[in-house]
Amino acid sequence: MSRQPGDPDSGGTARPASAAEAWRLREPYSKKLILGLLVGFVALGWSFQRVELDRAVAGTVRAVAYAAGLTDESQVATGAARYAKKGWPVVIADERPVMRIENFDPDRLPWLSRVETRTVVEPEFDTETMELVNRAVTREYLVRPVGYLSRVLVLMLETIEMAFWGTVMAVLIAIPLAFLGAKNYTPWGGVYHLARGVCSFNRAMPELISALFLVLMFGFGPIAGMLALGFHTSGLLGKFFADDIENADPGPQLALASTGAGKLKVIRFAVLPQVLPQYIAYTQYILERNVRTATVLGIVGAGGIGLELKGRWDMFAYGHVTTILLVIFVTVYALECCSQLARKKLIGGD
Amino acid sequence: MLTLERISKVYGSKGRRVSAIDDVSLALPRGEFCVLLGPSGAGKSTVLRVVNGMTRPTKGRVYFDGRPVTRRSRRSVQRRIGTIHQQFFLVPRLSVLDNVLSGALPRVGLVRALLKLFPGVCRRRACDLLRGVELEPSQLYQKAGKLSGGQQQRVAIARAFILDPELVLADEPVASLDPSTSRAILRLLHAASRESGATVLCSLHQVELAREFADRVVAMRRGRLVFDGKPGELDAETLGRIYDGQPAGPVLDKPGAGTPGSSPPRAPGPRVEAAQA
Repeated sequence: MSRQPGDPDSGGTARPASAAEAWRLREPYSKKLILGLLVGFVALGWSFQRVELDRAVAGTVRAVAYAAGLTDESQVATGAARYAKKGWPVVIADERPVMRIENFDPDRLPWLSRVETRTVVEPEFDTETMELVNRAVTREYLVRPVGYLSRVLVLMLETIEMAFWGTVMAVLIAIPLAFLGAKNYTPWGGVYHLARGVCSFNRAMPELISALFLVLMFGFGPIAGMLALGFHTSGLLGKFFADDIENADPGPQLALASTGAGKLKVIRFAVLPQVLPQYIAYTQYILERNVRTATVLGIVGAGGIGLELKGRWDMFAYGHVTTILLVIFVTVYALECCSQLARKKLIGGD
Repeated sequence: MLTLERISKVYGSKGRRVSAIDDVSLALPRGEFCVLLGPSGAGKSTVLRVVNGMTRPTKGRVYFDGRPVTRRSRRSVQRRIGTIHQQFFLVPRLSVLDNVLSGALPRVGLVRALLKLFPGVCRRRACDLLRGVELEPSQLYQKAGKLSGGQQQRVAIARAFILDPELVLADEPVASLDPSTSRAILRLLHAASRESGATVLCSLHQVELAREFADRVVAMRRGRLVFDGKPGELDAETLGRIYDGQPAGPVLDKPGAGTPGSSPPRAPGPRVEAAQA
């Protein structure tokens, strides 16, 4: 700005000869920052020890040494090897002794299955000699070549359905919470704090714990899982949605409000179009996350693939566990690809 | 049509009180194209915000069509006012048509509005207005954010006129546009207001544009009216008074002359109170 020296606006103070005298520059690294970094470093070291990261590092180093043949024993390596030995090959087929199947009809076998006769050696208690005797038994098995895989896939589908409806529920709860919890659209302060509080509460309750409660209320099955997911993620989405409404460009909102349009109409025309792309992205992320979380909710009986996973793990059926883990991995990956595609179509399209 | 009666507006609370406008009175007859001149921070925007009810004056009253504007009547008055902004304030992700139609929201039922079902009359009116501001039919469904600044301001003019307002407020409508686009935009605004008989209150930085389009020029400086008269009466001495003692000329296009940021009394320049209309 071009002010004349005699300008009354310069306030009457004498002008310093050089800018460096009056303009105080800050040090690039202040003492406060350096001290803060030091304190932070010490705290990190302390915490490192507290969570036994030092032991983890030692164990890993030893496992590497064991693998290279340098030491004879390593707890980490043997633990890993136990799973690796039994977890392979993956179990895809399903076989059951025919004698355990009720009303088995050998002429009408299920689709894609066959009967195999096998001789197995089984220990039997001889009542005369009062001893255990190994005896060869011939048994018929019903073998379904992709039986186990299809069972896992059906369970996975149930898991995805749980996650989907949980996400739908979360969105339905989150949208009203978001508008009540956005500073610029809340009817009054109390409602704002209430809505934000509900969001925080929902977020804070771990799904596994709320699922336990819900299993008590609704019994075993996907209902509990769905509700637990919807409840928890509504807190996440509510916060994301509300923050986006608060950060939306106020200009268009002001322009429409100044024509005398009501709040709801302003939301519909000036807020929603602005926040919609982000909302879609958030919802996709939450859906993906819910699928991942739904896979473990079964552990507490809340439906989905988790119950099967936990059951097989407890029976040391690591081959089955590998199948389940692979199916989960493929599903999550496929979901990621789908949502990328959908995002491009929905957001990149305009 | 519009009367401002001794309006003052003070921003801020106990600690720092900044007076944005001070004892401004103004009367606009119907159909007048009135330009509000003055440096940045003179209080032009605040005057416009007080008129369209987005800011409540600290003191004074606004009369619209002979009736005082109160908290009760604010909404119904706002429906009769169209506003155009410096930064256009279109919704970038909505189409050109929807942006124009969003100006008609106060008159459309809630359910229809939420479903974007505007009556055919509104849609045809929107098309007429868009033709009036020289947009192509092919641009109807383009996203507003994809348009150039000048085209966005055209859409904003169409939006302001869709409810056939009796008063149009334009807050520096051409401040972020280049000179030739500015002239075109003001010509469209002028033509649209002549056609519908709307009164226009338009704040500007450019003196030559004010001379070209205004029926009347009102100038402000540091929150007070300092000039009110025909554009022909704007001489170099008057302009110097408005623009903080700086020489009149092209420099005037640049904002940045003194702002009323600090309230302590300044050197009292020659200040002539405007003859009040």
